[in-house]
Amino acid sequence: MRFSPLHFLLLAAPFVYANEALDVLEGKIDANSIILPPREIPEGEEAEQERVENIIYLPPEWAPSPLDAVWSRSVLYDNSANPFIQQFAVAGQYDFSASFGKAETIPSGAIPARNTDLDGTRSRRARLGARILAFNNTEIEAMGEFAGDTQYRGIERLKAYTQVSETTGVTLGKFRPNFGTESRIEPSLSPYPYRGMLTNMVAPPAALGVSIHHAGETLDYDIGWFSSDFDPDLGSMGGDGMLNLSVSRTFVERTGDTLARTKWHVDYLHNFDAGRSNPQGYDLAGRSSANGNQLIVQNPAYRHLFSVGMKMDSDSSSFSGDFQFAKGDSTVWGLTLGATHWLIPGTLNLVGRYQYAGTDDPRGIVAAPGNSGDLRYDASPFFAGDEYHSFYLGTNLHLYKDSLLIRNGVEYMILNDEVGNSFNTEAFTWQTGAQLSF
Amino acid sequence: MKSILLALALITPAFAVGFDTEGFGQRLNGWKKNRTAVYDFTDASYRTHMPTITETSDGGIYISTQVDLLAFGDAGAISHIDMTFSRGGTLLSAQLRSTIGRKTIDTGLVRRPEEPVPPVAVEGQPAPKAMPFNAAEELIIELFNRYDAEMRKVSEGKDAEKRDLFSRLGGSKNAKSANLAAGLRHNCNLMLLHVGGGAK
Repeated sequence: MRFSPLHFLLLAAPFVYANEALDVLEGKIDANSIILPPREIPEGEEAEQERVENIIYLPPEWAPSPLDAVWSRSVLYDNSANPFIQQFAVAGQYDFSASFGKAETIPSGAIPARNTDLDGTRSRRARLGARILAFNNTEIEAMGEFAGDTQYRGIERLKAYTQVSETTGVTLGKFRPNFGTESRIEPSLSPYPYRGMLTNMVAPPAALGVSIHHAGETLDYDIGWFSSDFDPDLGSMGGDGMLNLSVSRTFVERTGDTLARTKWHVDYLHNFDAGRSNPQGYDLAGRSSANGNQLIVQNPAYRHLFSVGMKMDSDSSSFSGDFQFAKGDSTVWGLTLGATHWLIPGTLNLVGRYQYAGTDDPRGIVAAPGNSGDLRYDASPFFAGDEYHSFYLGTNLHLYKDSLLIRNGVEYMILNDEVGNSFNTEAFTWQTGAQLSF
Repeated sequence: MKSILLALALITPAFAVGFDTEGFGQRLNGWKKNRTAVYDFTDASYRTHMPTITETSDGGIYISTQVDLLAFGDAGAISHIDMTFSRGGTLLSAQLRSTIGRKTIDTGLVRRPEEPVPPVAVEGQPAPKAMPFNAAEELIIELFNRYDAEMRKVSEGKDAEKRDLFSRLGGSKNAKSANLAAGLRHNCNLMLLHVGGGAK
């Protein structure tokens, strides 16, 4: 290798600055007169990684509110020095909802058009339970459901999460498997009046199980096994059950002055008992739909369930997207896109959601617009078809943080029944409700 | 011999610095049973906790107290005032710390500044007049300069805050909108006034 004058200059550069440092110390020159070279900034992808590495997104804090003193009473015991129980708090949720509107089924063949009344009110959720922090590494949650009929009332969840190491934890008890964006949101924090239609139809309810969570350097992993005995109470551990695998990754991105956190997930559920287990999403066999009196012959069970999606949170907005696919007695798929934006931060939240679902099987999609969104809770009346679209736009008025709010929104639903008997249906509803949680 | 010891016992406390906790509390609306005093100052409500006083190895005292900015009865911001006084009652150092939500403001320990060297008189010219210098006052000014600088960082931070409807209707001041520095300055002044022998 031949040395050019440029090489010598580059090699001598550090010594030039070293000499200047000596001159400053000896008082020969003024420190402010030295012009230092600009800091080396790596270019390209590496530079971007360097900038966003180790940034933690903290969601905006709630300002103090007059009801803080009331809500703080839900914590009955709080002592971090106690080695056995550190905290004991009562927890609950009461959700009252009302719906006003109608569904219009177009005429098909000899059957004329039909309007279905969707007016009604419901105590959609009435939950009471407790949260306990114990042994400095365990969180126990017990929640009873007191709304709905006897097929729905029971133990909503009873689980214990233990952190066994810094990166690994185990959940044991009755709880929901990881499936889709909504399974990762506490029901009381969901901005929508009810869960997504496809989630309601295909996602298995809470069941006895065990799940291991591991937080890797870049990816988080969950592996779980759940009983396929879906019972309002605890249920049993019989059967081959379901395998639940999840991988997720969280990114924090900076856009201008704002930070946004995006969490991606891929979930897979394999139901070894599909066809043998009790109804997975709904129990409607033998009943007829409101559009064309179409008989539901069987409650479908899904052997494979797949979901890929993301949720992005920033100070003023959130966005979620979820693609779901379920295959078993019938095959269904769908996409749910949701967005929220604080019109008045902390007070008025604009909420929107679009849902799409499709199937090639006649009456493969069962939806209940209005108050009866969750088919396990109440499905009267319900509609059957093969292509579903829903547009929801509403506002949530937060009286006290996320714990006391009033919802208002309108939903327009289209349910096509082209593969079936062409009882296409459109429904327009105004949905309102109030929610209290602690 | 006994009389000498008695005389010493009487004389020694007279020279040691002390703090008039009762007098301090009276200026803040009086101590309640839970050893706190609640009062309104300028535009907000505050709660001062009864100070903790410990003796230092050189015979001085260290006084520490907690001041809460109240928002709807709860602490919207928690602040601590720490002061160290010499045996003779001279303010040696002070520090302010505030916790506002997830953020902490800390002035660091501010020490008593050195007295400036008096200007040298030059022959043939009138002797320059020495500027009056109050070390305790300079220390407090420096303390609140640092506090204000730290507070500006918190107030101008990009951290968004969510206020629910009741909070908006209630109109309570939070740490960013209330003049927290003024509330702390009020406490500092009263603490200095109630140090035995008077703070110098």
